[in-house]
Amino acid sequence: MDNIVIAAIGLIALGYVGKLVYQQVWGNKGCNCSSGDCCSKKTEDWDCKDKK
Amino acid sequence: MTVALAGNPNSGKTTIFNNLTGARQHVGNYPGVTVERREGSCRYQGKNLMIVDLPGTYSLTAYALDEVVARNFIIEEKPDILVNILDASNLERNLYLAVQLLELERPLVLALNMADMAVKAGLKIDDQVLGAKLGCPVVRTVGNKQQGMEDLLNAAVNLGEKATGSAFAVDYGPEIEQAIAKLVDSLAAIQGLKYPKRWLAVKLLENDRNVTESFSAYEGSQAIIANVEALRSELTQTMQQETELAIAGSRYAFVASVYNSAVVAERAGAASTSDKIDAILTNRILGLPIFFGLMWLLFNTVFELGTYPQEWLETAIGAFGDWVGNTMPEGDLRSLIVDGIIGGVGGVLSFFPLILLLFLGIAILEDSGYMARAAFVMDRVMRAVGLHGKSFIPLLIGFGCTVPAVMGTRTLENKNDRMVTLLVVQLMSCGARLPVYTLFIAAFFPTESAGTVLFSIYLLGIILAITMAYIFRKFLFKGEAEPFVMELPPYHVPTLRSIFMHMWERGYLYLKKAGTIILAVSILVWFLTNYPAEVEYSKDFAQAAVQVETAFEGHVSEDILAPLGIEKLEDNEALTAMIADIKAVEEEYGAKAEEAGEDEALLATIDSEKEAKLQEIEAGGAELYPVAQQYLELETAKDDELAALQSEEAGEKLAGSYAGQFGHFIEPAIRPLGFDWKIGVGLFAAFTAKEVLVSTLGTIYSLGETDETSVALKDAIMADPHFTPLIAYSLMAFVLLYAPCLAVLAVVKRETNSWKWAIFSSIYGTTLAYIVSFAIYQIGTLLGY
Repeated sequence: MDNIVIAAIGLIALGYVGKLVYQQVWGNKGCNCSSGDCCSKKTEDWDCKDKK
Repeated sequence: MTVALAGNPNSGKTTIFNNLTGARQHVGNYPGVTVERREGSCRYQGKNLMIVDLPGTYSLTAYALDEVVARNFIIEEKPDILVNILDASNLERNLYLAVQLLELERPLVLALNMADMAVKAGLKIDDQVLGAKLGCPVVRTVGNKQQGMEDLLNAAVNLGEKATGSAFAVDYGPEIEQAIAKLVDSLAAIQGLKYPKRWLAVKLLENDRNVTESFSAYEGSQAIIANVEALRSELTQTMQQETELAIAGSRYAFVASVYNSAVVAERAGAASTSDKIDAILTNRILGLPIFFGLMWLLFNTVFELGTYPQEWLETAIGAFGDWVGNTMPEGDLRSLIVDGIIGGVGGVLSFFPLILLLFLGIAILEDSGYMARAAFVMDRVMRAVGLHGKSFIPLLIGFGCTVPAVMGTRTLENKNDRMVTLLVVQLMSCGARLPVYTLFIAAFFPTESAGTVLFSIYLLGIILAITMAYIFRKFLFKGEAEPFVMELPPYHVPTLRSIFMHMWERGYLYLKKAGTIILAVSILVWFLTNYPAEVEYSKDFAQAAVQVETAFEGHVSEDILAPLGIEKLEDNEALTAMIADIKAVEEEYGAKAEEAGEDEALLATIDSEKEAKLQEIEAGGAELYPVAQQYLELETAKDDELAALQSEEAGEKLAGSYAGQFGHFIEPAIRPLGFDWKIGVGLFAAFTAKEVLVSTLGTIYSLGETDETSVALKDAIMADPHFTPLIAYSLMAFVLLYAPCLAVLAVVKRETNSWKWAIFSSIYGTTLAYIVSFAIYQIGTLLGY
């Protein structure tokens, strides 16, 4: 039982760190629009109104 | 209904935004706090309002990135209502933007903010005259006292319901007006134009690069742009000055006429309190020493006051760890919770009071208005490296957190200045590194010099940031230094509410980080330091322990039991009782001696009391006393040997773990800096967040402990023979300088729109850290430290 709990805690921690790294490295498409749209709304770059 | 808050930097937009929406966006008494737009909502008279807080801008001709964000929102997104927040105590300068906003022909409300400061400065403003001259409603507000918010919302909603823009126009004089009329006529032919024609004509004549670029996308615009060029040269010849200067001149003249008719300055020319304070704080000779003196005071206070609650928290967390350890059955799950989670996260949590104190100091610096003065006094130093004082503001923000500091570089107009500042901002020591410094300073440096050692680390960061800025300016981003123009805001006595908000904001983030990323990394570090479960040991520790026990029993039997003619200790009740009594005395006075600490007088008293008690026991059985003492000596020697074996086994298990293997793999590279494998693992894990170094060492030392009770991380590090004050200082310098954390790298990538600079900042930071730590350790070793 203990081993299952330990493995579950480990997997959650690994998933959380993995998600964080993914978001920071690949998930953040950058804000290349001067209106600051994507920065303030935390949406992706293609939502930038400058580019529409 | 969208309501945009626009205005000059430091006019109080974010304070009003927070009041209207209940948000807790960061505010500070210096220009450039808000660098991106923020949205919040509020409900008034049954209407849903979306309030947009914009970065400050002095005009609609934007230069810096933060100004571009504001200007694009106002022009491109056309909010339903524009609220121009004006600093009433600096009304004339603030009116320049108001006039530009009115020219956009959008519904506009003027909010005379800091109205109380204007009254204090002796300015009598006639709202009626101001409103009549500009053709828009005027309300008075005092943002930090939450006054005038109802009036502001009322004026905005009323104006929104009418949904009419102002028919406002500045008279630019016959020549320019004629050119404007011609352009307005030609613009009528352009289909789907999203700008007001008169405004666009003025902007084209002003040669506004952004507007001309935007306009050039329209069909038929090229001919008009060519015509503008001709009109501009014609006007320059006729008026004997550049058209944009003539237009700006007319606007200033209009602003002056409005100001003079609406404002009476009752105490013109009198030096304000701020001026008097500035005479000292920004003094040419005293300015810099005062700045460094204040920094020294800040870090000393943080250390002096913060270590007491930190120690209390550490004790409480240790006691909690002991309780959990005693409650749970022995096994891996207990080790994960006690050594991994409590040992790791607990170590970081105990530094919470220091973080609050650091941000209290930073909040006072920001809210009082000193931040802008620091930039001003550092201007001469910054100029020597090819930057200007304004670059120093992001560096100061970096004392709190590097992420907003990187974003703060948006206020710099020149791209080269911005890139250089952005790259060196990571060398300023952020709050996340404070727990690392405090841990090692408390462990290895005397209390009286602790604050100065802490200050020296921050100073090292400032010196290296300036040095690297010089190098980058000379080799990577060449160019002339630009003139420094920055507004010095009036000094305020910081309000308790704003200081509390600032501390809470940063404290909350720290706790959140401890409960998320640091918790997750601590769990992973525990796995990596605890597995594989079976490692190859240098000897059979279980067998060795049995040998120690057997040898002890043999000695007892031969030296104690045989001479007394008994088979086991319990056969002699008097001896058993005496051994128990001596043990009780040793334990009682051992605990008392620990409590006494370094108080020599108290220790001497405790010693003499203990001796008296032992003599009392001896008097009760003089013959048996030496036998009892001999038994206790043998038992202590056995316990020591067993503890050494356990410690050796735990050490070999740690060294054989995945983390240990990795640490030993990188150890040869970091050995010249004085670091061992444990530090190597900690530094690697701390790439996710700098506090993780503390939590990782907490887990490693906790696992390495053979004692049942928790030992404070500071004590465990002090007991590690590897550490010396020199290694501690070398490590602190490395932590200060090496690659920034993941969040900073992501924001560098976002702000530069390139991974190239994010990777560069990581590589140059780590190289610089290596060189500096190498120099500290090697030179220190040569000097005999």
